[in-house]
Amino acid sequence: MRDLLRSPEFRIALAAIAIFSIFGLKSSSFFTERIWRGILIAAGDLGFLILGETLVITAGEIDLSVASTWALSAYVFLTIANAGVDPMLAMILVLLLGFLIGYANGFCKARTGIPSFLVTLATMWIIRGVVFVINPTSYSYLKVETVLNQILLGYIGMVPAVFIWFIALTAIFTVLLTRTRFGSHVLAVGGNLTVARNIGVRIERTKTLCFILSSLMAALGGIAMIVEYKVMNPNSGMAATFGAGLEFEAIAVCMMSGISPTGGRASFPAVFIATIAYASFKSGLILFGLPGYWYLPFTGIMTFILVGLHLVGKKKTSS
Amino acid sequence: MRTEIIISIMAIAVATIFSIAEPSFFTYDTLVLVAILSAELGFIALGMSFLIATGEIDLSAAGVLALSVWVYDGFATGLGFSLPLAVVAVIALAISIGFIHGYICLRMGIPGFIVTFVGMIIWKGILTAITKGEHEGYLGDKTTLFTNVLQGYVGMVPAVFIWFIVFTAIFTVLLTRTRFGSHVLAVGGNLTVARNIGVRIERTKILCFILSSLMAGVAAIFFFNRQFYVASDVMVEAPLFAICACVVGGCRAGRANIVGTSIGVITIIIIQRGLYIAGVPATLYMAAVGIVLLVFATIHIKWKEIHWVGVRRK
Repeated sequence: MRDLLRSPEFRIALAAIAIFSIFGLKSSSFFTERIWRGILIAAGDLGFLILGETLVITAGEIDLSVASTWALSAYVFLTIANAGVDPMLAMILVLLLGFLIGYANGFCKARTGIPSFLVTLATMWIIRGVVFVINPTSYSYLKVETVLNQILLGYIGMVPAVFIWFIALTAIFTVLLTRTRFGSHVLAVGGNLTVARNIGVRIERTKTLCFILSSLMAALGGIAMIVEYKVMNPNSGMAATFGAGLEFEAIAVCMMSGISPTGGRASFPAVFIATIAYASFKSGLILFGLPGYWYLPFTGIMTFILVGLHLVGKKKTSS
Repeated sequence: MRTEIIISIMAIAVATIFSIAEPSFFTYDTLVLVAILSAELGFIALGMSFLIATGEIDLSAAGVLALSVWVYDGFATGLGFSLPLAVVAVIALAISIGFIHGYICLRMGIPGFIVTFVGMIIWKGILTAITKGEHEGYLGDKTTLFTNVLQGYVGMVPAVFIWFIVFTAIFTVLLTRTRFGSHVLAVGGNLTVARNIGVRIERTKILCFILSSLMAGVAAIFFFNRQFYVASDVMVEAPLFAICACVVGGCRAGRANIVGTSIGVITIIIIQRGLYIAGVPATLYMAAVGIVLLVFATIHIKWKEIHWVGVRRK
């Protein structure tokens, strides 16, 4: 019982239920198919970035470049698929690009010893710059029908396909972290670097692999986004700034899941629930009828509450 | 002095390139603007350098600055305080925000950049909600003695740049000549050693958070006395650029270089204005700043391992 109360999954699930109840009581239209379809799609879209980010944080690093990689992948996929390249080939090329970005992040980190916050801050800006250079104008459609349409769009029962992918990827990452040697290495590297080195874990290799997986997930997310929405900027703004700020949202959701901020401890099921809780909070806020200007502070306060939730009843870790 | 010399050479080189490429860069107006913008970003960067030296990061500066500007205007216009008197309110606000950030970061164990990022969302969000995203101008007297002291000219030099030099001097003394400065470096350098020699770690870090917010408040006072308007989206890129300036200037956990940071700020502003005059969009100058950041961070960390013209340095 004590373990249950202390487990991050239980706490975040409780918070999610609280959020659902508040919105459900306040607005009768919260528990409708239309709203939940939106919530699940939003969770699925954001999920790609969050899963990769979680792995990097577990290894004791941070990746700020995910949202830029996301935008770049989406744009590159759109361009080469429109140019007549076979969509599957285009996807492989974009994933290769994601691999290279992740490798570059990991390489810079390992070879120069610059903290990953700064390395990925720099690559975040540089990749944004690349998006801008190759796409000075803003508006372009994905014109081709691809196999991916059938995989990513559509519904299984009432559940959006992209959400099913999120479930599947969460399962894969859970297995990766808890059942494989690589997962143990990630936990060891994040938990105690000295011990990890002494038992023979190749630290830089493990961390670089985490960066690569994070960028690969961001590239996948970008492809999924462009296939779903067909256009770079579904809402507003230039393609070059599309998704700017998402990297911090992804990190905040990771923190809501009760992950150890310094690495070494993470739970993908908790991340999964936190993503749904966050997406439902953002969607539900609209139902409250607040003026739009108040969304930002409320999201911030909510983030604090959800992050703080995991600290209740825990012994203070000395800084 | 090594770091300062490298960055100065870099700044002069960049300025020379821009002057050759764009003759309109090397004019009095542009240089004055570079000085003014450097000073405003510089205040934030100076506060940030201490925080970076303790191993934390503050992403909230733009939010604190915008909220401070609003409070400053509120006290000056709404409550009828004179401009110098309203400064007290801004300083009180900035100190309390810094204390809240530091307290949450250290007492709850949430990493500083998450606390300050969420703080940024909340402070900026509150101001957006209040101002409804619009700009509000200041209607009071814009030519008081106080405004002149902050934003006038001494000869040809803008006063704010002289203030920037004064603050750089104050921070240098604070870092190198006071007990607090040694504590900051000890906390960032080796936590265990710092604890064992009796440094109060939490207090030092919270003081650095306060210092960082306080300098954002100071920047807000100077900003308001120049621009005279309130908006939630002023200087949004300030915190990340300030971090860059600190890193370019040679700050990292356990190490701080105040003069280097100041020159780093000037370098970044030269790049920004130069590219702006050349017609390059904002997204691209941020990429340029990113490259500068990577290069300088590498130089600072790897200096001893780089072979310069075949000579092995110690």
